[in-house]
Amino acid sequence: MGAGSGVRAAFLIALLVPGFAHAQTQPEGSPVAESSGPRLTIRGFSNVDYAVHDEGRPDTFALGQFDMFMTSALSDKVSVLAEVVFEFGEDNAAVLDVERVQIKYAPSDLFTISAGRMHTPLGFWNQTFHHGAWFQTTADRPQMYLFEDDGGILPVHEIGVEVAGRWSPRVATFKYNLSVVNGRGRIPDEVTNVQDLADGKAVNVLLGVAPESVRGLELGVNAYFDTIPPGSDLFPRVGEIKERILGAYLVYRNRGVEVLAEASRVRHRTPEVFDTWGAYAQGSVKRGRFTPYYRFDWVKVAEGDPFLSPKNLGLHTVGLRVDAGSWVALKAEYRLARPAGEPDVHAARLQAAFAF
Amino acid sequence: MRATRMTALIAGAVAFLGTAHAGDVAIIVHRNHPQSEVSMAELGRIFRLDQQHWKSGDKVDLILQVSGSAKDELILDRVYRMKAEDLRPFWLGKVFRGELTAPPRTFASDSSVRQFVSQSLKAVGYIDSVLLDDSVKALRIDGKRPGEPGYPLARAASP
Repeated sequence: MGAGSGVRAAFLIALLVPGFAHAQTQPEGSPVAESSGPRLTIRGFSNVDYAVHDEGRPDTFALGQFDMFMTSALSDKVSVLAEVVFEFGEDNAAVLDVERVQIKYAPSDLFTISAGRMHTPLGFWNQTFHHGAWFQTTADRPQMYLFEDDGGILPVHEIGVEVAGRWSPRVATFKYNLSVVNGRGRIPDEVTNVQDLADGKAVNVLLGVAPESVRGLELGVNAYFDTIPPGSDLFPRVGEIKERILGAYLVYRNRGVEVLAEASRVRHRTPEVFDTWGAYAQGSVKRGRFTPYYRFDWVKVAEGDPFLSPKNLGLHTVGLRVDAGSWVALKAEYRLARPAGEPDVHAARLQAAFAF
Repeated sequence: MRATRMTALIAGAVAFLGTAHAGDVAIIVHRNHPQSEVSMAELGRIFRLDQQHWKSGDKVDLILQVSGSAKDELILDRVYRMKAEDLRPFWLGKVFRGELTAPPRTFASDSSVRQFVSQSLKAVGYIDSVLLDDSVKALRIDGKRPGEPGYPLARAASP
């Protein structure tokens, strides 16, 4: 290694860890740390967009979610995570959402248990990116993972208890999640934060495997079972709905190459059966600061579904992400939406996403 | 008796240092740590904190370095298989997903890493193998010690 590469290495390594300049040099559990209580770490994420003809609406600047993310280790085995998001609705009014609050007990890699409001382990995207556009390659979430209050088809948040773990024999890492949580409300946007509408709880199981032989590859499946309560005067619907969501994902992320593919089927039985499908496939290659990407989204809500809003859409997205700085990503993308039975919609979006 | 033991320790250290190649990266733990060997796959899981507990049940306390030396590049390339700029979002992503409450601690030099690891049964770090002493234990990787042919973190070894 020459002197030049040594300097480059020094520069690169100096960027290794967020907050390295404040590297902790005191041993854990020092008297100073104990007397001042648990350490609270706060991070923020947000984005500013310029949308051109998005969903046929006027061109506009748009503030993304302003995400305050907090973590604290209460002990070697107990930690707390909280996430508060300020966001703006289509009426331009600000809304404050407590997106996550969870306490986690992690005595081993095989077994952890968390309680609170969490991201439902439905596949890959929902737990990996969720809020914080800076994390994700693209400007927006896949259509199948839109939030409950944004026309999403999946219960992307859960309130309850989640057991998770991973086991790593020589050939692969196997992981699991088991959630027992409040069920859905009477409409998709009604997340049952403090009062479930039925005694029975929703159950979600996710199983994943990452083989050692193909570094960066992960495959998994999930199944979610719930009973959606009958409607009310405000949301008229007769009878409850049995919901069963089956999903599968394939992910490859290694040395700048990212391939993501997921699919879910949401079955509602009244006892008439309504099958809704959502899927996406995304690919990108990172070369230096530049990451060109493409994604295809597809969502088809079953005709006459008693719970979900109608949607039948194919969406092509092609774009470029430029990591302009350590914590700033600029994205430019073009979208071609093809709603069934309607004219195509061409749109574009510029985004500055950042973490702080 | 005490002098004999000291002599043996020094002789052992000298003999060990004599076999180590400059630039090999040694993975070190406390000298009384129950584990003496890891596979390269397990080392990757530990350094990525996908595995956060030792086989003994203790939590892994991973110590990284910001010395900017060639050994840091070697760790990035062969253990993380990432570029430095990709490791940053990697740690933040793990925090965001609730897998960690904070990224691992970073020390500035081999000697500070060695000193910290020598005082903690949970800690694991890496240093240049020429700086090994009896205050810490170098883990065998896939059965190889630093300096032995085929050691996975030798400067000359292929990934």
